[in-house]
Amino acid sequence: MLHSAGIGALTVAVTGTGMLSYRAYDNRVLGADGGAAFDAWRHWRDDAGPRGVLAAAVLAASPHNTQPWLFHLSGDDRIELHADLSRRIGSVDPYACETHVGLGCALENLALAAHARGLEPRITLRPEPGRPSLVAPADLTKATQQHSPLYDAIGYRHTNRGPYRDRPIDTAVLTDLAALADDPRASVIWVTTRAGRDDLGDLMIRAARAVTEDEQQSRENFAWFRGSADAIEKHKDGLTLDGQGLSAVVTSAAKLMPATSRTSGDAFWVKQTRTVHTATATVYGLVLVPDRYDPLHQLTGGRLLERIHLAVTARGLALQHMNQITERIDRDRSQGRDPVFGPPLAALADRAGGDGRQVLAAFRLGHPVRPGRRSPRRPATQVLR
Amino acid sequence: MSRDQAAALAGTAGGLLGVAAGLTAAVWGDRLGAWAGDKQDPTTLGLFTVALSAVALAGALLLLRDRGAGPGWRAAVGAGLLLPGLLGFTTVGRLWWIPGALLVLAAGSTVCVAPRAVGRAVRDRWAGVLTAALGACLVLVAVDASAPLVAVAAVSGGLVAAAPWVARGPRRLATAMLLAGTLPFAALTWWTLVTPAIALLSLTAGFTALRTSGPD
Repeated sequence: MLHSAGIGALTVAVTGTGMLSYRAYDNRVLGADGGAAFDAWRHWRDDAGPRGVLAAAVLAASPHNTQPWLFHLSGDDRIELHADLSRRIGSVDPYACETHVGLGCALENLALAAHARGLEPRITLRPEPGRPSLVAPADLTKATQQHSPLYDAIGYRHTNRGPYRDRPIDTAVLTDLAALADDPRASVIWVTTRAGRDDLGDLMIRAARAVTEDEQQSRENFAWFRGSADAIEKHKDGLTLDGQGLSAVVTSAAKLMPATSRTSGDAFWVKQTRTVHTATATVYGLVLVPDRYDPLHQLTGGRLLERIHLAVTARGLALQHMNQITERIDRDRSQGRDPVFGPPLAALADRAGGDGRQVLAAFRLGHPVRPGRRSPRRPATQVLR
Repeated sequence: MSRDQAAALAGTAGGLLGVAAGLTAAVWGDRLGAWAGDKQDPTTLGLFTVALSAVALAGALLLLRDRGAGPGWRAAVGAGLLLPGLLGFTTVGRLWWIPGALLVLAAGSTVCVAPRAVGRAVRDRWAGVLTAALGACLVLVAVDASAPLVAVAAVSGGLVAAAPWVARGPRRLATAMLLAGTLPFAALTWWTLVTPAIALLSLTAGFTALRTSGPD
């Protein structure tokens, strides 16, 4: 009798474990980035020609990993970067500021990859104002091959949303990173003081909460969350559990549990912003431009942001883009409401040496506790028109 | 023609057609759409189907060779035909419809020769069956992992699945197989939470199987 009961219990336990094993297989608890959605990270150096330039460009940072780009290749000497505005995040990015920042990031990778292939890219930003989807044609001419550490870092650059160590970043490093700004339209300033970081962190937490309390923004954010391996493989874009910077055990547990709802995902994000992102930020960076609603400034700022991210990666540091404040500023503006977050952010930027310029993008820097993870990517062939 | 011969024939045909279906999916799966199940990675799944079909084919050939063996053997051959027959429906889409149906038919026919005796044999070795299922779970969890990890999982799963069935040999060998199949892989992938759970259950089910296994 006791033996039968034991065998019965064992049968139930094995059945449950079998179901759990299937869930682990289905959600790739092991081998998270082994699928085709991550091939772009493995093969970006394979092609020595202009297609290889595109393979590097698609690995750039973009808001919510929306990858809002399309490319047109004319022969071997011209690449056109186009905006895919259908991938804009609606109420989260009503003026396409973040979209253009992402396009600027792609443009930076494109330029670095062209130089690495002995091609000089002559880039013209928005050459036809009446045709806003044409972001930047790049005419390629033969030149001396220029390898740079920034180019080598393209395949390792990932947004790191995990905790950072309580270790300051050398002032010399911040000076070097700021010196990467080679266009007077875009610059970066650092918020390093305890008071400044606390104020900016508080503002970020409040903005994150405001985003989650705004149902439209919350829904449009959540639409870019890929909660299963199938969704990741199907879309090859968006945010994933693996990209949240959680420990391996917590990531596994999250993958084994039922898919998260929008509201619990929102609560998780606000909690992470409070307890991890702002709590362990060593330094904040603010990319400044004269006019954050000017597409040329957005593209230029995006190029600088990508360059900084690559330089940070090359130094073994981590970076996380944190744009909830500017998302709320744009949301209030688009709704014709009094600005809640604009004035305090402007005051903070001015205290850090902003000199009246506008904040285009914000990020945090630090020494990572654990490495950033790959995000899914549409390969160059899928974004070539 | 005896029922075993008919089952062996159906199993052989199912196995051969399964190999063909697997190869077709592996080579042309991208172009076959729903016919190959619209899979993200038809090449891997096609090759996996070839391996499954090979297992079924081996079962069918054993049935032809060892007709009249005991109910435990018959249960094992039935499982060797049935499991690939069912799993194939999830790997290569419509290409599996005919081989799958043939293998399920062959498995049913194999068991139906002596259903009560087969049922009793399965019941008597139920802990071993559970252990074998857990060995399969170890492999399943690691299917998408890197090649070295898949290899470790395959060896671990194989050791766990086979351990209860070598109990008639030296008991120490079966024990060593269980420990070697569970502990290293669980230690290597402890953070998944699943593999330690499988290891714990495998040891429980495996040692129960070893304790209760008697002469066949």
